[in-house]
Amino acid sequence: MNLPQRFFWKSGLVLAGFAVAGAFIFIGCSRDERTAKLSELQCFPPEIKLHSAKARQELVVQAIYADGVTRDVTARAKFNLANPHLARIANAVVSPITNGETELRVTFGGRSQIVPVSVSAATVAPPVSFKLDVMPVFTKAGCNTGACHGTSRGKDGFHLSLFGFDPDGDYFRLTREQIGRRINLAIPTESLIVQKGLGAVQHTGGVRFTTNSALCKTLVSWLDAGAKNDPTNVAKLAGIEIFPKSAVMEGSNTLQRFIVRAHYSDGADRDVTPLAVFISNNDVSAKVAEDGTVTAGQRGEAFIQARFGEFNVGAQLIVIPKNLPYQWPDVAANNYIDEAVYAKLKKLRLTPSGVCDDATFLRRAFLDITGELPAAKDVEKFLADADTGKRERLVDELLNRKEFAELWVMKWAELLEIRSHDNAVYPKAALVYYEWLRSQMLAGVPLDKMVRSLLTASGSTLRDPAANYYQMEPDPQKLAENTAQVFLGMRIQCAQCHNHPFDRWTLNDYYGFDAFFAQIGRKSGDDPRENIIFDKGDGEVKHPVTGAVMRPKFLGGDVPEIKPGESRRDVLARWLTSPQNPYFARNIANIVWAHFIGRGIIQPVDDVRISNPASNPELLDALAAKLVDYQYDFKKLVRDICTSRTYQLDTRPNDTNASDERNFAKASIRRIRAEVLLDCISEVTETQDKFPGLPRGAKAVEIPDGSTADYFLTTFGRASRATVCSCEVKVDPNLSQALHLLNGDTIQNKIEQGGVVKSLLKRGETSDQVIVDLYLRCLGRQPTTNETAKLKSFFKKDAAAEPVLNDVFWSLLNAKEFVFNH
Amino acid sequence: MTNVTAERCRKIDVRKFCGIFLLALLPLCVFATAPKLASITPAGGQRGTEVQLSFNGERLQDTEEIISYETGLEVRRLNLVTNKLVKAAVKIAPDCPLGEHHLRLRTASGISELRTFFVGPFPVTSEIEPNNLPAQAQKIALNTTVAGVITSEDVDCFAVQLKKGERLSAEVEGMRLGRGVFDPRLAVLETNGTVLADVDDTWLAMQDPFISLIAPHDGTYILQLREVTYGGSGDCHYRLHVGNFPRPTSVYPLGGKAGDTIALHFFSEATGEFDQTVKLPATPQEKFGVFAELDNLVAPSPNWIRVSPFPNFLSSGEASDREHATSVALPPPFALNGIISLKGEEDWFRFPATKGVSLEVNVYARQLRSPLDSVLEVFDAKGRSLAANDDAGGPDSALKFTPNETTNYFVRIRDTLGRFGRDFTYRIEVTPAAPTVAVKIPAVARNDTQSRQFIAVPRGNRFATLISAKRANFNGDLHFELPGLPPGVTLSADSLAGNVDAEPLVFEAAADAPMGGKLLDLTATGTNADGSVTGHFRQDVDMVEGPNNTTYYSTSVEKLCVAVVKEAPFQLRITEPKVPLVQAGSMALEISAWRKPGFDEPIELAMVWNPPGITSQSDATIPKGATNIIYQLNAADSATARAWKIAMLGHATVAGGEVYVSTQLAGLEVAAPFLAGKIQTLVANPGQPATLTVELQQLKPFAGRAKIRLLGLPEKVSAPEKEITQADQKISFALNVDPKCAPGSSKNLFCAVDVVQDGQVIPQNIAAGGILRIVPAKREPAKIAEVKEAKK
Repeated sequence: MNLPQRFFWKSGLVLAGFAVAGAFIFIGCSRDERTAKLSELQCFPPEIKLHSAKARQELVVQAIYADGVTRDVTARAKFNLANPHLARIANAVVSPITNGETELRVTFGGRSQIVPVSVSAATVAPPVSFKLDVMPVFTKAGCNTGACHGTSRGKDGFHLSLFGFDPDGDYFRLTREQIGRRINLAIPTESLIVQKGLGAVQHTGGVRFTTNSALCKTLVSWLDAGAKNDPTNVAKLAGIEIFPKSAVMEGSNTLQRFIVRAHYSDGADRDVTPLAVFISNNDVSAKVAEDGTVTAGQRGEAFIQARFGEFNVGAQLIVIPKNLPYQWPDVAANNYIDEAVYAKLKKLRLTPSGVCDDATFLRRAFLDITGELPAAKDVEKFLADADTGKRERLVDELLNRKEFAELWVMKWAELLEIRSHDNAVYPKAALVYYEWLRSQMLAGVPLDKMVRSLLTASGSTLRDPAANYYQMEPDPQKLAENTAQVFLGMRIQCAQCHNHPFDRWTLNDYYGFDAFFAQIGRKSGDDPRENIIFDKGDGEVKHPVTGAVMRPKFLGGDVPEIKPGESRRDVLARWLTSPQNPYFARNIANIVWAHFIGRGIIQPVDDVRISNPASNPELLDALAAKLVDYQYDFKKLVRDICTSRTYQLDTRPNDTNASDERNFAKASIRRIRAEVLLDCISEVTETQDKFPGLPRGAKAVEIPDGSTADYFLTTFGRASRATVCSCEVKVDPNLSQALHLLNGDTIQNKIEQGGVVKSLLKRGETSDQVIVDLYLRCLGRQPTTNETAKLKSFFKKDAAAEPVLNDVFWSLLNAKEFVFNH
Repeated sequence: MTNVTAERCRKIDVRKFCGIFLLALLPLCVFATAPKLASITPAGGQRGTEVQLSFNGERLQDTEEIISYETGLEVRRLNLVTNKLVKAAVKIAPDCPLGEHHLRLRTASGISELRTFFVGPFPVTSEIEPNNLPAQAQKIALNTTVAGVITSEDVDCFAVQLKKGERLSAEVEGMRLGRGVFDPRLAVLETNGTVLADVDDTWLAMQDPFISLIAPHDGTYILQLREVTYGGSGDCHYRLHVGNFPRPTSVYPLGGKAGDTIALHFFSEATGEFDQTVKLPATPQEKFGVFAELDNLVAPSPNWIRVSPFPNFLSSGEASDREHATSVALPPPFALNGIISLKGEEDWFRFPATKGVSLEVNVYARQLRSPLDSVLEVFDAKGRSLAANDDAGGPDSALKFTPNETTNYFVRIRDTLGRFGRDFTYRIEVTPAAPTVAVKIPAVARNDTQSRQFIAVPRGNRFATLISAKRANFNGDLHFELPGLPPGVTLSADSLAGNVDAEPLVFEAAADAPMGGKLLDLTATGTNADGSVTGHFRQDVDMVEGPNNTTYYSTSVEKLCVAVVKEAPFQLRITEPKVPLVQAGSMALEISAWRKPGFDEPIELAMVWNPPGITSQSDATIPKGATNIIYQLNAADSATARAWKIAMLGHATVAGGEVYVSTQLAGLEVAAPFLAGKIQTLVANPGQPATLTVELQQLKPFAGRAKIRLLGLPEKVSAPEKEITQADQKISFALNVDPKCAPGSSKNLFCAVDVVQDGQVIPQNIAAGGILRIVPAKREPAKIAEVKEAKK
């Protein structure tokens, strides 16, 4: 070490010493009692813009620790304005003094953050706006909820639009519908809307605010000023944000404050926390107060939703017990899926189960990927294989089977409602549509391309099968709804009548999206069973409230330029399947994930909304990104999922994850869906079924027409394909299913028809060998010693073995282990 | 090339073969009872061979003749096996037209439904089961027709040997056989299971598939035929033609001038384009079948073109915009032909037209089985759109326009969906609007295009049918002609007035008229200021019905089958009224029946037709054993006053079948009323007398006194019948208003007047819409004052 180096080294020590001392001094000022290291400090909002004399901005400071826990340290943080003459700060609320720009330094636990502050129009106090100030009062006070005056017929003679989707209509109802009753401009405080809200007169809804509340003051101020409507150029609400976006709260009764900031079309921001409505989806774990303060409760997850105007936003919240003993096990991540799952599990202090054994994996992979059971010889071969990479090899091999594609044809047939019905869709149309879908899947057509083919389809429903997309549901509004639900996972139906109460969708969004489907023409073809789908080139959708012709608008996106003569459906298809659409890939990824894991990251898979957030957004984003990378070849995504350690987990829980169902810490036990179960029964009994439209011996998975009647399939919850809803497929076990398996004709008849036991015996197998064969073909495993011993007792000397073996076969097919994928 | 539409009809006289059987069966069938023909098996045969045909149906025991609408079939032997089965040995002439032939049975008792039989170029072999699996495929020689049935879940496999580069064509006649709903699907497989072709529907043959491909190597090829949904039934008959024959998907141009010899270009994916010279028939035809021939092999079914009386023009192929439009030097009429073969292609034509001469522009594409779904637009010389149409002619386009100056006009055609291809052929016929008449017998039963679509006249009796004539660009009177009626048969028909489009025709056969049948050309001819026109009879027959009153397959014939059949056990007659039926009046028509002794079945009656403004009972019955009934006719105010002809058709069940007989064509005069009237509005009080006055307007003198009754009165109000003479200008009725009569307003009062003329009553209604208001009697004001005073 030379001199300069020593100098700097010593200087470094000295500086470090000062720094440590400084830190101790600082901790003395705002001491952090957590032992985990503070890794990050965040102040919200990240910048402060004050646009009028009335403006205020509340701050929230969040400390993030190395162990994932967060703390609301707003009360203990230090705030220092670089120029204190520009704005004032008190109780973590910033308010304007004069115009200019400065910085706010927020300090806690030895870390600090700089927040830019800008003040404009500091001396201008804008008048009370009906749309910006008064309408939020009705929402905050709960006046316009569905249970109160927001219901379609109003309440007690007074109707407001649900959650304020129609401000102009509400203004009319307040000021013009019953002149002299609801408002009193001479004595504003005597106005009925004030008196009712205060509970000063009989009010079914009781007291909604107090005299001194900001809500009451806003109302009275507006009435004082003449209860005027806004000029037409008033800024429009453009969006809202909630801060912080997430929190991991440790210990019950800890607090976390949330704030909401609104953005307006004129570029202004506004702290609307007092006017926002806060809702928690899990009061037991996290109860949210009216002002946005969350109090932690029991261990669990919660989603805090904030609503202001027509917008909804949400924040994710995890509550864990204080001082929970937890040690993350040393398990390797097979791929990005495991990494994302582990990250969440660590936050929740959950430990993943162990990996399942080979026999379980083999059966699970066969059922999930091909909808079939492994044959006895497959089981023996796989169990005997000592190669460590055999599971990956198995997945690759199964993915290349046509049964993989056929299983997904069935799933897409459900989403696309492929079925004959009434006199609108004849069985042949359903058949050719199904065959088209099958050809797409077997050819490995990327999903984005397939969806584009569907959305842009024209021509005969018999000769151009994809055109049936527009025949299965001819109503343009329902088509729009189905398209959103199937391809984007969104249920926008609510917004047909009013702004969606738990999502971002407004009437404008709904009818703007609907307009893409307004110019679809239909006419008869040569064949009485066919229809011709084409673009008429005319036809518009009108807004039900304003009557305005709606320009086609992407859901959550822009209003595109559509050239004259261009098909609106082409434009929609390009956007829907483009990487710029944030929903399509996520939706497909979620559907695929749910099939293999038994639960979607968003569950139900077709109910994506603000108030139903992903249980692991990072995982969903990663899967979606991969799907885009793979150019929508979902087979590659399936490979990722099936080769992840998460997919291979045991169903048996450990102490930490026994009650968790959302975070993929263990494998789920799933009743095998109807078609696959019937195919499995036919497979192991070596029998054939006959379904309409298919040759004898075809599988139930291949049924082209959802209207095909089959008692077994109906009992076991097969989708009728009457709607696009994922809820159509029912995998809940019930008594009818059990009785049908026990007493119905399916199992017994098939055992007799197939004659498996007879042929095994004929082949020279002993009873023990037959039992092993039956176990392998039904359960994918050898019988245990205990099972073998018990079964032996049923065989009587000098009695025929075949009836007993058939009974064993019957018992295996009635075992839970057979009926469930585990 | 062979024409499938015969220019003349042929009667196949088989009586000499079956007399002995008739003698044996006569006691079974005494009277004329219509036969029922369900099917003919097999569905087809090879020309130049003799085939054994089975005619399956009911009441066939007295079959005398097989009536064929086309030439080429000759019955050699007829064997009346049972009343449900007739067998016939039929010689198919070597030059018999290929394709669909239309046959009926004529029995001594009646005429059967029309059924079809297909003549093909190849020897026919029967399908042999089991052949469901490729391994079980039935070996067949090339250029063979297989006759088979796809029963439920059935798959039929056939194996053929091919050399590399050899053409394999296979075509199914399934739905076209008209046997039932059968939607076949055909695939060609290699023995290793590789699917070379898999076809369901085709543009040319609709539900019937065909395949034409070049064998990739020497070896065995499997043809696999099934119902598209793995359905099937005993009705799913097929004829599968397999061979090296050409099977073009399209032909171009889609028509030519009658009598011309034109070059046709056929196109097939397997063979490419090949030409054929065709001599077109001398008379125009809406749909003319041309059978492609190549290497001395002929396609088993035709491609379709039109034969028109005007010249052809072909698109230049580069006429993709107005500037480069294909120019036609002649004014209409002419036909424009082209193919939308390129992506985004539009074809333009320019032609001169004369001011004020209305033009019809009709596209013929899908009607001739082209895939094109046309959109047509007409522009003037400055590029302004004058008319446009998409689907007026089904998927084809049709429009009319009248040039407002004598100059050039443009027509543009494209596909609705922007599709294109070598098969997207079209023909546009531009013609001055000319008078046309379409003649047919309207359907008499729902979803049934066969009932009573023929004339079966019992000896010594009559038969009537309604005939309609739909005019276009013409509104004059029409006269029906039916030359060549069987001996002893006469036709009674009025001329068809310009303002009506249907009327009854009554046929009468003399008692000694020889029994026999003929196919005749029924025409309707007229001349007026719009020109002269002759329309010909045509029967469209739905062979296979689709869902919701639709049709999968239909065929048509252009001759009316007329036959003299056995006597019927009853005759009908209208007693012709001596007095007119007046507007707003009614008439009691007497219908009498003569019954052969021993026949006393009820006879169901219905008017064949009601003149405009005349209504009648929908049906009536002459009861069992009865010989006459009164049948009520009513005339509306607006009924056309003129002499009409009417007839009634009656039927009765005889020997398990229905026998139809009509009345004579009787005169019915509809006349103006004798008088009109107006009821003066009256307000009456319950229990108090009232007088209602009717103002009369004498329109036509009548003799003597006419009875007049006031009708439409409310309950508990009555008026006595009165009498009037032609001199009365008003009549008053003293109303009897019951004290309990409910207050209210009656607004439908009218008077029924019975004028008597020549001893017959002529009822008529006048003064409709009279108002009578019943109101409670007012209390006297004085009494009210008294009450008030009393209260004080």
